[in-house]
Amino acid sequence: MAAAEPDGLTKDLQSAEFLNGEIAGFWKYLKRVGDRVYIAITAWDGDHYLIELTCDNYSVEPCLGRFVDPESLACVESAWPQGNETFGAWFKWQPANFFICWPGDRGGIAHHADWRQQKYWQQTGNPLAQYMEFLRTCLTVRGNGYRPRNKL
Amino acid sequence: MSEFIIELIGSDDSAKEITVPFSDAETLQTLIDRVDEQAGVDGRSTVEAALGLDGIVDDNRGLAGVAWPREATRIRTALIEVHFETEHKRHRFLEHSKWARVHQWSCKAFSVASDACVHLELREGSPKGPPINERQEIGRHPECKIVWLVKPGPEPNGRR
Repeated sequence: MAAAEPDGLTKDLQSAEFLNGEIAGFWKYLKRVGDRVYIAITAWDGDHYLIELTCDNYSVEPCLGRFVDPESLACVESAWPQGNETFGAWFKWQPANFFICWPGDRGGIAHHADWRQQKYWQQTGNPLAQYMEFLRTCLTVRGNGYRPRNKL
Repeated sequence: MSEFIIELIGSDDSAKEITVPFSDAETLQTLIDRVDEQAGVDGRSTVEAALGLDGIVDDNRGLAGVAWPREATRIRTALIEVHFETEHKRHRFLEHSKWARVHQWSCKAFSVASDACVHLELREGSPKGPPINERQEIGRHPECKIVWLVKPGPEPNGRR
């Protein structure tokens, strides 16, 4: 019997774009539980955050990103990277309203229904790497307003 | 006058000794700038290496009383060519320095204001090349390494 074809998410987890980000030390794949993947991402100050991407119906629908506590995997305010007003335009870390305001994220689209027709998450052919590159840019380019949670 | 002697070791193991004069009446910043200009190597990291410091707290500190090494400061360097818009410059950096030093030096070298500098990042080989992790060491490069200082494309959100 032929081996089952890997699903789209598995393929993109093994793609050069995703692996190059790992080799460069920007992020690190930790585990996959069903349709959820857990990836640690490093900010410019060296602090790590854990993103949980729920990717059911991968590439047809955008993934849903949430930052979670590395121990409990609970989505709590302290797990979210925070920053100034510029940074806050993408990341909504207020407990009553956690979501990522970006047209490649399912939560973002839930708040901006007009984004759906753009199909932003399908623009590169690798929604996972596109998502991680978005997070990397926000967390490593200082002008995007990320504020370290630990004093430097 | 005193002398700051630097032995530059290239990634090809070639060695070159450079002497940079200074007086006790001058500041660390003056010496850093002179090393940059006369030795063609990152002055800040070189002075830090000579003094065994992780960072210089006060650039305006006078050189009188600084515990200066008597022997040459031996440093391994990599040649980096930085491109910014239509210009490019070559400079040497310590192999163990972080890429963030190249970013900082480049903004100064290309007269980029600090509020614009924070919106830029380094990319490998071309403006659309892979992003460089500025927390990582520059490392050994047998040949001149080409990098670009660019502004990444904007990521949309609910406000734009």
